[in-house]
This record gives sequence, structure tokens and C-alpha cells, in this order.
Amino acid sequence: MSAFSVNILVILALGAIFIASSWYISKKVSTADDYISGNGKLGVAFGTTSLLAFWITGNTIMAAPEAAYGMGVIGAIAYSFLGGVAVVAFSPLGKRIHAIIPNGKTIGDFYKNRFDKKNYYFFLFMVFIYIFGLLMTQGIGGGLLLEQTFHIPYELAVVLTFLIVIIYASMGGFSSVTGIAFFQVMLIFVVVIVVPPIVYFNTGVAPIYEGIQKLAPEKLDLLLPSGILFMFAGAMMGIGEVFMDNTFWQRAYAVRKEKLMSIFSLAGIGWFFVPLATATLAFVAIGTDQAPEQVNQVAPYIAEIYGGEFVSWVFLVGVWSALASTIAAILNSLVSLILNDVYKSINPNADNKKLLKMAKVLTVVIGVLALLISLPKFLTMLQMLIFLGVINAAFVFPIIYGLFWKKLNADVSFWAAILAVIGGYIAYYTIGSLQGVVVSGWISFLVCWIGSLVKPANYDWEKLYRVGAVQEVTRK
Amino acid sequence: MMAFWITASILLFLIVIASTFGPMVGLYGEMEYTSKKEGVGQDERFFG
Repeated sequence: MSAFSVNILVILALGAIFIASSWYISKKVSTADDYISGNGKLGVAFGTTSLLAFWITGNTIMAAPEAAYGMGVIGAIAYSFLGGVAVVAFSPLGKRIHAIIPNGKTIGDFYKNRFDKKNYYFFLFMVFIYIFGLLMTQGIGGGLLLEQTFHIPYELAVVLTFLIVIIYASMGGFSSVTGIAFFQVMLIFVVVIVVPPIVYFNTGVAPIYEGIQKLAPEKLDLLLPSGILFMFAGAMMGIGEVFMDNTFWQRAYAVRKEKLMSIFSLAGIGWFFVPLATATLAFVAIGTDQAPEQVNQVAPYIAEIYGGEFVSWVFLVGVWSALASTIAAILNSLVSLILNDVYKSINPNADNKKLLKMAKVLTVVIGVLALLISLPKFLTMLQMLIFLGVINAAFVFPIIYGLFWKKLNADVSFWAAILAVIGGYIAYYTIGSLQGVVVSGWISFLVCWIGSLVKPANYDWEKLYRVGAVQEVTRK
Repeated sequence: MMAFWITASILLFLIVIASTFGPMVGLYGEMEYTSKKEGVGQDERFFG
């Protein structure tokens, strides 16, 4: 049997397991709230793994070794830092969200009630662009990854991945996505725990270190300027992504209040080691002077040379699980936003049955739309992520100050976000992509901070506290 | 020029971290909300 057929069979078998598990989980989903945000009692295990499953993308496993191959040790550390620190930084926000909006469902609930209509609509517009862009990066990135590395044609890879995810995500919504995430993270960890040690048992650690010292000593430099900029500008991008992403807000609402800090901190620390472990494979490539045709294939390339076919399949399982779990989480997060913040505004009297049906229809429609848009290969994953990073950074301070500081003025918040997006994109196109993210973050900070000191508001937190309760009473 | 962008990104990162974890040491002194509902007080103590 050819490698192509075996790879397809591996994906179909995994997909069948995910769909069957989702069907079982979906039997317990009876309300629209269960479908979009769970029941608010997600414990440490499922809470942490659902965060990890979303946040460990195909990029985490493949692009971290690419960063390490290009920038050496600091590249590996920087990539791990930018994603890990973002989740840890969200933990105090998550606790605050749970405390002041105990019955909230989406980030839209916060924006609608903390600020005014112009802020809310502008944010919704930008967040839809961001989430849809992210969904496409996963589709396009996943298709490219499976085509280049595992010899599955791009179109077939995208169609198979999206179809399987649409089927299992539409069955039980949030409950299915978080339930299956547990198994997906276990599969991803197999890659992280098994593959690098197998490779290093075969090569030895000392020969690799000596090889790097001899062939590319600059890759051992921990103060490489491009690596340092990537580390901190990248962290700003990661933090903005986490703070603005409804996927994290859904989990902040869904997990148990007393476990929230530990869940987010554990997920951030756990995430840190995933790219770090896979990035170590790039050191083997540097130390043995072996280079794949395309640099983003460095990890599976080295794994196959020193681990053989078995390790190659382990890689496929891990990478595909990472892709599927991320696409499913984004899909469910976008459906939750549309259902909660758009559909309920249009149909405020829709009953539970109608809402649940609409949630399932939306999952299929958005999934198919994302599939169709992902079919043409028009952008790389990293380009798209940094491009969206300008938008993410613009909303960091309106969100932080909006949650903690009652002096933050709604007008100031609106202008901070708009000016940061404009200024960020000017810098993006005239200076550099990472510089665009930094400029966006600085404008967001300065306008929010100075503006609120000059024209302070006196926000009443009670308004946010009543959000969910008001919705519940209205719907009853 | 690279040194400028590195400094700017590190400073911005530190500001974000101080702003998110700052409530633990009372950064936003006036953040309390007026609700007396059960469970609210616990969080207020936590965030200073």
C-alpha cells in the first residue's frame, strides 16, 4: 500500500473516531446554551485540554521548528514564549470576566454592555474579520502542510479536514468540541513526548551541539536581535489574539470559577513546551547540515530520517489532530458570536429549539463557506497571522482597561481601536510587519490611558453583572 | 533602528503584563463595583 493511501486511511480512521465520539456526546446537549458555551462547570482536565487543543495548531508543531531553523535557540524560545505567555496573561482577565459577567456567553456581551453601540459594532466587524481570517489560515495552512509533508493533494486535504470537522462540530457544538479536544491533546502529546527523544537517541545530543558550534555558531546566540524582536512583538500579537478571541472567553465563562486561574496558567505553561519540543528537531538539521526543500518541513523531514515511517505517521496523527481541534474550536466560537450577538438581536423571542437548530445550521454554513474560501492557496499561514496581529494588538488595552478600570471612556476606547488599526497598518506597509503590531499596541495603550485620564468615565460594574441574568429572565 | 523596535516591543510587553496582573497588587484602586451579591466580595479581595 502506498504512503498516500495509508495517510488518507489514517485521517479517515481518526475522523470516524471523532464523529462517533461527538455523536455520543451530543446526546447530552439539549439547549442552545449547552451548544454555544457548555454548562459553566468545565473542570481542570477538560478546561485545560480544550484550551490546549485550540491553541496548539498545525503552526505550533510545524512553524516552531522553522523559527528555530532560521534563528537558532532564541527562535525556539521566542516561539514558545509568544503563545504560552499570552494564555497565562489571560488568567487574571478570565477570573475577572467570571466575576463581573457571571452569566455571559461571548465577548460580545462584554463589548455591548461595557461600551456603547459604535464600539460594539466596530468590534464585531473586526472580530468577524479576525476569526474568519484565522479559520482560513487553519484551512489553508493545514492543506499545504498535508500536501507538502504527507503527499495528500491540497484540495483533498482541505475538503476532508473541513467535512470531518463540520460533521462532528455541528453535532454537539461546544460540548463535542471540548470533549473530543481531550483525546486530540493526548494524540498531540504523543508527538511531543515520543518523537524528539527517538531522534536524539539516534543522533546523540553532544554531536548535535558540536555540529552547531562548528557549522552555525550564531544559532547558539541568545541575544540575536531579530529573535528578540520576534519574541516580544510576537508576544504582543499572541496576547492580542488570546484577549480578542471568543474561544478563550467561551472557556472563561465555561470553566469552574475557583479553577479558572489554574486552568489558564496550566494551559499556558503546557503550551510552552509543545513548540519547544518540536523545535529541537531543527537543531538536528542545523548540527548535521541537512536541509529540506522547504524550511517549514524541517521537523517531519528530520523525524522521518531518524525515526522512520512509524514516526512519520505519528507526526501525521499529531498534526492533523491539532488542525481539526483548532478549526472546530474557531467554528464553534464564530457560531456562538453570531447566534448570541446577531441572531438574538434580530429574533429576541426565538425559543430554545429554534436557537439550537439555528446553531447547527450556522455551523454547517460557516464551515462550508470557510472550506470554499480555503480552496485557493493565496496566503501563507504566518503572513496572515501577522497581518491579523495588527487588529489583535489594537484591542488589547480597550479589553484590559474595560475589564478592570472604570475610568475607561467609551469614546476613548473607540478611537484607540480605530487609530491603532490605521496606524498599525501604515507601519505594517511602510516599516515592517512586526513593527505594525508594535505600533498598533502602543497607540492602543497611549490613547486609552491618556484619554481616560483627561476624560475619565465612571462606569457602573453592576450593568455588566446583570447581563446574563437579564437575558435569562427575558427568555423565560 | 532595530534597537528602537526591540526596546519598544519589550516596554509594551511589560506594560501589558503590568496591566493584567496589576490588579493583584491594587493597580486599579477604584475598580470595585457596587454589587453586594454573593461571591462578588471574594473576587474584589483577590484583585485588591
